[in-house]
Amino acid sequence: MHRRTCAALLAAAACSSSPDRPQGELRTMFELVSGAHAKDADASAQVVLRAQPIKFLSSPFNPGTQLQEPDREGLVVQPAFSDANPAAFVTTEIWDGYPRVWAQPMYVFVSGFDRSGGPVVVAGSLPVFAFGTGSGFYSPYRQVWWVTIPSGGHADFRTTDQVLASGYTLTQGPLRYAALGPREMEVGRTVDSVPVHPFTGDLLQARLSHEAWVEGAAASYMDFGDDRFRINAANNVVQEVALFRFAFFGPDGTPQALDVPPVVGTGPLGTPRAADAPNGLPRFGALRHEYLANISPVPGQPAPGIFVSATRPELRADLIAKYGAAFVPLPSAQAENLPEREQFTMRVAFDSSCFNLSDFPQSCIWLDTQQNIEGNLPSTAFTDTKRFSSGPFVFFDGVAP
Amino acid sequence: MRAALLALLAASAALAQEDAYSPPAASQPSQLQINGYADIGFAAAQGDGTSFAPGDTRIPADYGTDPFATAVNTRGDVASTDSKGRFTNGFLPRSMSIGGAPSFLLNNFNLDVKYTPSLAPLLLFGRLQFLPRYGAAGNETRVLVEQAFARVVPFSSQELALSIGKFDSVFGIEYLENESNLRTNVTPSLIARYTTGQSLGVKAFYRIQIPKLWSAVSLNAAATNGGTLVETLSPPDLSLSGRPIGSARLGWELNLPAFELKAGGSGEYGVRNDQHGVTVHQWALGADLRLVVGGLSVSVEGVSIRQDPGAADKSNGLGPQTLVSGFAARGAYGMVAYAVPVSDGALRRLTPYLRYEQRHAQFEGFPAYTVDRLTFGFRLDLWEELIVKAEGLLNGEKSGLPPVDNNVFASSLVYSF
Repeated sequence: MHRRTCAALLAAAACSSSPDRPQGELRTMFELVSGAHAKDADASAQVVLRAQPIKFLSSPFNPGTQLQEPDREGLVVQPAFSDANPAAFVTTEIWDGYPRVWAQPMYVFVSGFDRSGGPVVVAGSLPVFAFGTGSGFYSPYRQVWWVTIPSGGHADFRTTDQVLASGYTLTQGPLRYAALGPREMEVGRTVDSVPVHPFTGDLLQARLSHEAWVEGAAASYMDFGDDRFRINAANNVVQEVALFRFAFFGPDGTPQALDVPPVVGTGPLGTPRAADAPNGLPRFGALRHEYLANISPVPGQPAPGIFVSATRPELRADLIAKYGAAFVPLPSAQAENLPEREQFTMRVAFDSSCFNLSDFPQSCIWLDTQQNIEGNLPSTAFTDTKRFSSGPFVFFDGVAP
Repeated sequence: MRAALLALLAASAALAQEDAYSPPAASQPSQLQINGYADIGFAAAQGDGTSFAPGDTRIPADYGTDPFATAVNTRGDVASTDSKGRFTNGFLPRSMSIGGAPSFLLNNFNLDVKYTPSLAPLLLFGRLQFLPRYGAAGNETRVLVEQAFARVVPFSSQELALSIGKFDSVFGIEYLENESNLRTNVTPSLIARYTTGQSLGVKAFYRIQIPKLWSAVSLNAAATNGGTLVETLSPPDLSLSGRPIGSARLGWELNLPAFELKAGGSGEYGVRNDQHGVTVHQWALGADLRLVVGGLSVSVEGVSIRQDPGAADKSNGLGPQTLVSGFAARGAYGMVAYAVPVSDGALRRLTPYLRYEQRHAQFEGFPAYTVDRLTFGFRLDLWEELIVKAEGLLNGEKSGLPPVDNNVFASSLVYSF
């Protein structure tokens, strides 16, 4: 599917070849935690082990070292930009070489519905997930089905076939993001605190594990709530958006991802849409199709740069050491004095000379939206990594859903 | 003359099925024979003709149920595979697309072409099948080259036959009844999908007679593209992995004047041919037993199969799919039939039969399930050219999957020429 999209957008010879990755590999929270223990780079980027430094809250991104609380593993809050706004997400699954991802059913037992149509969940009952992480078709994207327990009936169901065989009324409910994983798991945070956005400092919602049945076995899941994604109703395929990871050419001539915040698009590659966020709650961005966006400087062309305030000397030094001083120009005094300065931390501009212009930040073409990225970079800049990552926004446009 | 011709035709029909010994034909004139049969059916299925349970929204739809259960003809085509938009991942049979509506069907118009040259111990055989179908896309009729092989019997003193081309399975015994003019009943068993598929490759059959014991021991072995699974599950016409699949049956038979007993063990091993990875294997083991005493025949067969999980490059006879899921299944059937001679006139034989079977299966990460089926019916032989068969299939869900109304009535009129 993404190949077709790529072809449609980029016409001939536009998409670069993808990095070698195993085809059809799914890593759930279980594998990400075990991978983090094994120091796998991809897994360690998503999971912070208990009592270990939380990457974006620690040096060089922030002063000092902030440790994950000692009783649970944490999902790393990853700063990003989306639709020109600061954002952040967590990642609960990674799919490599998958063509698409589907929503799967989840059964929740109710005694009925209240006057406003809200379900009355049977006290003490646990939801039933259709199947678990052992299947390649496992998905955290769930279609809730309310199972109405008649008076005198019981809600002690543990498997899908038990639910379906009961003959109880099934009512289609909302779409819910519910990821199975280890019981001692949460959104990454330090002890005695709530999760925060690493750059803006906004407080985020804490998420803890809940209990459920998965085909007869007890299991735990993290519930990120309803309406966090959309599906194609005809086939339950989850709608994806493009995620852009900025990249430079490496020594071998292939694009290498930079360790800077990515940009979450609002639609598939080549099809940006208006951000779907009723009441500020994003229903997009939970399934991300990852692309590299090559911004290697080209002689005679504007040089992209990343905004980092002089008040973050460690971060500036780190980025300069990795990517060169030209990529991290010193902002003007006017830029430094902006009250909303931290909103721009690690935001990439198409032409970094704008950091010294008097009308900063309006002077900049920020590569912080799908439209700006696809509109300002050549079609050959994009490489399909053939990777999906999943996890809802935990922060978007000032809201912590 | 007529009797001789009929005998010749019957032998021709069976030729493609069995690796029976044929003496070298050097002294015989070259022969070109064209034979065949037509299978005209009438079938009705409960519900919507599928085995997809109402209310079950799990994906893939074909992982949590047995979509092969509603078979309506000898090819194993089912009443319907319409999942109503739910994603499926290629674990499906072909469909007659009748849903829950009773319908007449032209299941198969089969044409066999056989040539035996006069100066070489060769048999050249082709089987063409015309399969009229109507589905969601309108006319979906297919023409299938089900078999095309050359067989040589290199030694006149040995019962050894070597074949190359596309031929029948060597696994178990049910493949012997792949064609509706040979099968006692109408529909294949629940395990036929693993053992009865034709495939392309090479095959060797060897049998040694032990006259003192009224016995014979045989070995039938093949190396093929697709192994023994049916074509929707494992495409036979191309090796996707570049590795052949080996399969074999070791058989023993006891042939007493009034008593015939055949037993065999089968095995299969190789790379799955519904994907491209060379390390993604499958294996199957089976056992079979046949007993014939007078008009009574008893057949029992069991199989166990495992397939490794692979990548996201699944492709089979139904087209490109997605994930190559790990899979395991086991099952068995037992069938009893009794042929009652009726007359030498139009009504030759009446054969009532009964079959019971169970199948247990599990896709990687999905709950395991067990289904069973009771098949009962009769076969009526009219003259030597006409067969009328009718049967009921009572499909049951024993564990691990929701109940669904998917019983079937299937009937068939087969005429041979």
